[in-house]
Amino acid sequence: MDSKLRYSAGKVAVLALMVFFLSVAPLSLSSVKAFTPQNLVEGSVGNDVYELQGRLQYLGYYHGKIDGIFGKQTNWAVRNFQYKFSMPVTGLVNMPTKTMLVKATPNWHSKWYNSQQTGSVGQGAGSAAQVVTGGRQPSSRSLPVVPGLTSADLNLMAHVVYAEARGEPLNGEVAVAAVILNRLHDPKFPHSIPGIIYQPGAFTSVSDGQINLQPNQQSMNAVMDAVQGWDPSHGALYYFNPATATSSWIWSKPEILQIGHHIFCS
Amino acid sequence: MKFHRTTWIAVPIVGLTLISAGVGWWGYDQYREKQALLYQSESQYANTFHNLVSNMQNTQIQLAETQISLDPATFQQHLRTLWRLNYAAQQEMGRLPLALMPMHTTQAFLAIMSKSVEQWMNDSAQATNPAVQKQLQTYYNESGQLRSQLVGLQEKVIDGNLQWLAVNQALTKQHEDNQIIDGFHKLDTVSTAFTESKYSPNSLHRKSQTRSLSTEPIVTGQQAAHRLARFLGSDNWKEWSVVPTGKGAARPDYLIHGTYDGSTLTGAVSQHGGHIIDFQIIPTTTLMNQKLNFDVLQAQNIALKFARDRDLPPLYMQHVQQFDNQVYLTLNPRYQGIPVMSQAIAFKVSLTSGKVIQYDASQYYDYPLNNLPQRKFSTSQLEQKLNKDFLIKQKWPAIVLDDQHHYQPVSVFDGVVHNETYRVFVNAATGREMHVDLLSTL
Repeated sequence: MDSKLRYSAGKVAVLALMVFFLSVAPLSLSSVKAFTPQNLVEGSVGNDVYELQGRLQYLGYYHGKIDGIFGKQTNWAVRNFQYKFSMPVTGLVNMPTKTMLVKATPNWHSKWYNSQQTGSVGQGAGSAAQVVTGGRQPSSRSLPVVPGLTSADLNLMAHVVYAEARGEPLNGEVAVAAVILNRLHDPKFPHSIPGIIYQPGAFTSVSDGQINLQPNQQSMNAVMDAVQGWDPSHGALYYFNPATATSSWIWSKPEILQIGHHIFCS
Repeated sequence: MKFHRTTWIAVPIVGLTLISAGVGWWGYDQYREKQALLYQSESQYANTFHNLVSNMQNTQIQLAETQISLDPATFQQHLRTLWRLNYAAQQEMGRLPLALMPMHTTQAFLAIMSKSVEQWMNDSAQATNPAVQKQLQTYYNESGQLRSQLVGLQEKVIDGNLQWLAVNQALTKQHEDNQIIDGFHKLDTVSTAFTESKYSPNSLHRKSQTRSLSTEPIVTGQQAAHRLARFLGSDNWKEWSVVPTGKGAARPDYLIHGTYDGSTLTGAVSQHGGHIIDFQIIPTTTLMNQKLNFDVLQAQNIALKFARDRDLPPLYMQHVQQFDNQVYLTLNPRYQGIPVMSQAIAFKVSLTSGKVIQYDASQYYDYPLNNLPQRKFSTSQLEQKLNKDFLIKQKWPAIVLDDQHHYQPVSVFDGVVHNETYRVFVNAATGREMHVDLLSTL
């Protein structure tokens, strides 16, 4: 009887210890789970970059916006950090840099985590695995801004692309966006994106109100492609749908190529 | 209750009369509202047009005044006024219907003049410079002709009480006998002669140029498809369709369309020399939230390896931008080790498949490097010219195209001011600041 009791007491003690350690272990592991295994370099976007910027700001290396976009200021902050912590100064955030950064910021928590802590008291080690990065979506879905064009310009272009070319193949949509950019850089047209789009008679979708429809992701992707240099229209300034256009003026323009339902002209 | 017979007839008739009177009143009210909107729109067009004519008139007067005074200070003042009038006229033209196409050559003329005036202001050109005087005289003559055409049209509009909304209707319905449209057509024939002036009308965007490749031998469509296939490492090029570009293309290309690796392939190969200008591999299904198997650094190496394997010149990574599950990369060829930042070779690499899915080298072929002036200032010398509040973090030498489409040696400075990142280009041949870009998001 006695040994049996001691034996079961021992088992219970071992079990209790196991439970204790298992509940504590995730807490200490959670900070290493802060970054995903992907390396970060200038040009990356995503949750990891929010984390990186937050931690660097906490340490005083980064003074820019926490926007999830690894831009130049983030790059310089990383380099400063690597230099100060005697690591090779590459601007590349690989595992050694991440580990060093996490070790240097033990008291940093993402906004999401902080909001969880203040929100509900009952959350404890059970949600330790979720103490990863903040719950914010990366801003890759919104359009990163390009020198010379504001986010309003890009948004407007997405509206026009959707209104004019939805249903066309992708390169047809990109071509419409490229036509707008070609006009921006041509002396014969107004010098701003809104000026080009709202020029009376320039786009039928403006005249009939279709421009106010909400664009879909494909249109935004098409605008992004055009802004980053793809011009499927090969320098076109005008385009029209041969099935519906009756103006002899537009038919007289020298044709470059046809994509889907649109003929592009210079 | 018994009503008299006539009551049975009278009541419905009276009822109908009242109802139709009500409808008639409502209809007239609607008509008046519509007319009010039409008048507002009409007056906006008229406002724009009359302002345009008056600005053109003032431009011509201002050109004469600029020629009169040789005093440097007042010369600069006149140039500033000229630029302002010019800019206002261009803005007004942008508010007139696009299909009044003839106005575009006039707008182009104004844009050329504006560029000249800017150049003179930047260079502190002297009024006594004979080249400047000659150019002013040319602009005076040309703007005089345009002005008299516009004033003639304006008189017709006022005398004949011509309607702008009728112009719009006529343009959409293809009626050719509208006096305002005719007036603008005439303007077109006058102003087309002006597009070849000394400060040539190169657009600010780098459009395709015919001259750069035209000395090379022409390849056939089959050869072009074969070259693209070799470039991509594909075999079924015989099934691809090849279509030459039309008359309007500045650089004659073959447009190639087909399938590659299960996806749609589009590409362009130049007719002269058979250079691969661009290609795109568009997957047939675009899925969002795909797993990222590669990261941005690997994408950079993939792009560089792609270029190395295809005998492209050594490339410098200028700009990298991740967007969803793709990375856009802008690379520049090097000349004597210095990146030519105006020749952008654009890549797009998929982070899901790790393949190059988009490529565009049109700037590399359209703008070959030539006539590069000597570098007179070193980067550290040029750094002295910048404000100390601009904290420079990176600096390097480069070669870029200026506003006149000539290559210039520059030094590039990336730095921070007001917590925003800016990139400054300083001309290393003249020592003057050339351009500033905002790199961060405001």
